[in-house]
Amino acid sequence: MNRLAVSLVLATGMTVSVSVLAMDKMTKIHERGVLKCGIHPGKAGFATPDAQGRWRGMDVDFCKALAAAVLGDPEKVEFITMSSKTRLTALVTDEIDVLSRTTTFTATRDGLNGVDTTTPWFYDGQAIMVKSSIGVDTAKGLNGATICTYPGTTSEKNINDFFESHNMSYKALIVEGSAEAKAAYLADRCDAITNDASALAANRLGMPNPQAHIILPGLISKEPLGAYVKQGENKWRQIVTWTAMALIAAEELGVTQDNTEDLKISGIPEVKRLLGSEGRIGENFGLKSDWALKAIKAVGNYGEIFERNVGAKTPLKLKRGLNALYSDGGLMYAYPFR
Amino acid sequence: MWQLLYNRKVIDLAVQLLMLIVIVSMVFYFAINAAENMGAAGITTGFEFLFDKAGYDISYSLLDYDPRTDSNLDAWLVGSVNTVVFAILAIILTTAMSLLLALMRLSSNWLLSGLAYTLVEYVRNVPILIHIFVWYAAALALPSVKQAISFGEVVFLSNRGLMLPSLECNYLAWESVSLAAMLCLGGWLVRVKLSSKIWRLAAYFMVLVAAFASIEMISITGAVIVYPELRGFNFQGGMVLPPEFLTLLIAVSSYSAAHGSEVVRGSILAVSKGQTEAAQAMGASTHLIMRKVIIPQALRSIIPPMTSVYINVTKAAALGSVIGFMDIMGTIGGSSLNITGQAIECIMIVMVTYTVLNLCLAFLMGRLNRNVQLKER
Repeated sequence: MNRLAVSLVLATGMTVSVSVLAMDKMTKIHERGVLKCGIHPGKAGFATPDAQGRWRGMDVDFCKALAAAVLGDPEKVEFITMSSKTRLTALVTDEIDVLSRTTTFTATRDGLNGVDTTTPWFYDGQAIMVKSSIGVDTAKGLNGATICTYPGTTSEKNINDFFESHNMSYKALIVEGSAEAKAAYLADRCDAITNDASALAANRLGMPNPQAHIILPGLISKEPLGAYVKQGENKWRQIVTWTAMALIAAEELGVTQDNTEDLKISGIPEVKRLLGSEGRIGENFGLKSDWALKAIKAVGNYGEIFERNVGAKTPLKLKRGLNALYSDGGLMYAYPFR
Repeated sequence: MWQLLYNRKVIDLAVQLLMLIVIVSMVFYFAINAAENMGAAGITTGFEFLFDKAGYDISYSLLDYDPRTDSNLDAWLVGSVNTVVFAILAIILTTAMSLLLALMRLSSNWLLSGLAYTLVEYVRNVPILIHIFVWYAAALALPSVKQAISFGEVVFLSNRGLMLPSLECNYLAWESVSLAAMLCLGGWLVRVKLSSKIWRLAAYFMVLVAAFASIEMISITGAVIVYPELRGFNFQGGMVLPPEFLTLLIAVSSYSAAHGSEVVRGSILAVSKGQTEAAQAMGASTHLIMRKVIIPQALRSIIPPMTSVYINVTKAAALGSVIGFMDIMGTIGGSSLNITGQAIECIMIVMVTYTVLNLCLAFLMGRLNRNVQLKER
């Protein structure tokens, strides 16, 4: 009985935040002078250290843009890597200010976990990859197959939903070690491997012969990935949301990393409002008037961020697809800056 | 009244009571603190999620488990059964290998003792996770399912596991259980050797009926041996021992056996040399001395440290989730946690389950220990 009691004490003690001080998030960040950003420990194109040990990726760039908007300096970010199990708890316990870690927006997470969604940063979807040698060209041909699942969160549920709704049988192998999951797939322990399409593209790159694997057409799930904040911090949530909006709006309006200073003076009214030379948008959010300008100057507009990290010139070679601007047939659409 | 304060028993009791109050109030403090903070943070707490549909597949399950219908509670049960089955098999293997290694190490044959020494030193000085990775890589290096190694077209070995034929009878579960119960009861009645002749006859009769009934049922419903057969993506029919399970079993039991063999060896060496010499003087053979003189005495000091080796074996089941063998940690502490987000509840369930399992194990080992202790009459 004593051991049980001790275990319970430790369990609660370790997992629960000691105090929840009702202090405004912005005040806290300003006092600290650095933004604490939760990122993926290593996902090509989204958060991965480069040769100099600096973090690179779409999620990393978003953190930098946020630091530039709030603190005026994109380098004032402390990157904290998060496992898929600890990420939401870390947000609730104030270990991080914002979670920018390819986390899917779902109703359950929004409703249950004490966190709030902001706006989608990358529209992804779960896909299935097979070896071209097995002669399957659609996911519906996988009846009875064994599917390896990467350490994920929604992937095992999605794959189950897919097979259940198509009334097919399957066997899942949920492998926590990502190297082991890849090895199991390559050794034919499983017939297929499933993950978000962007991640599968990255996984395929790391395989001995990338051409021997095909990502089956059609996505089996919707995965809108984006930043999460702690529930109840409305002001902070608005700032995170509108920083993403500003970067998307910049692409819509043709504002790039290099032309911000020029457009600030010569741009059309909406550009001027975005860059802070007109109106009081920044002040209304409790920020400086040039918050968006600093963010765009730091990392570029959404299109530039996309191309630099995951676009055609990178090893991942992802197409814009759903992540193109709405005017190009995608889903990226910024609310108006007025 | 004052004398009470100087009474040893009273003081002891008071100290213990105080300790208990401190512990209980600490538990309460943490529990209330947790509940308050989680409430303030907007986290939904509670155990209702246990009855929701789990919605994920479990790669290896000894119970019938269907992700389409079964709940998180079922997933926990499947995980627990996986843990228990793994623990039982791994403990048996660990024990056998520990004994073998210890005896090899103590052998006067230089080759045997040298081999055992090398094995033990290599195995126990490498972390258990590395063992698992190495063995899993070896298992994956087996031929793929299409090129499975066939043993007489009955047993197949590939990197999807060992496919064995299975005996399928159309028994209902309760029928088999009641038959087994009857057999057990009959066996027990015979064993207690009731003085009354009638009882003994009844017992024999019961066993006979149960045996007949089972033969009858098999012949009526027709038990068939189902052989594994390659169809589509995989082998269908028969029984599968997946590579993840085998890998974990081999890795954990060999690692634990390296530790266990040192326990056994130490205990054997601790038996006074005079015992051996006395037995030799009586003309007993080496084998007989080992079996009847040394091992029974060594067991006294083997069992307590072996208990903790066994407990470590049981807990090592959790490591299976790295390679896809799902025990409690992989099911309720892994996928269920990820999907529902109820981290504290899930981890609490995992800890309580492991604690209960290991307390049971410790209890059994404690009884065994009492049996082999020196009895003073």
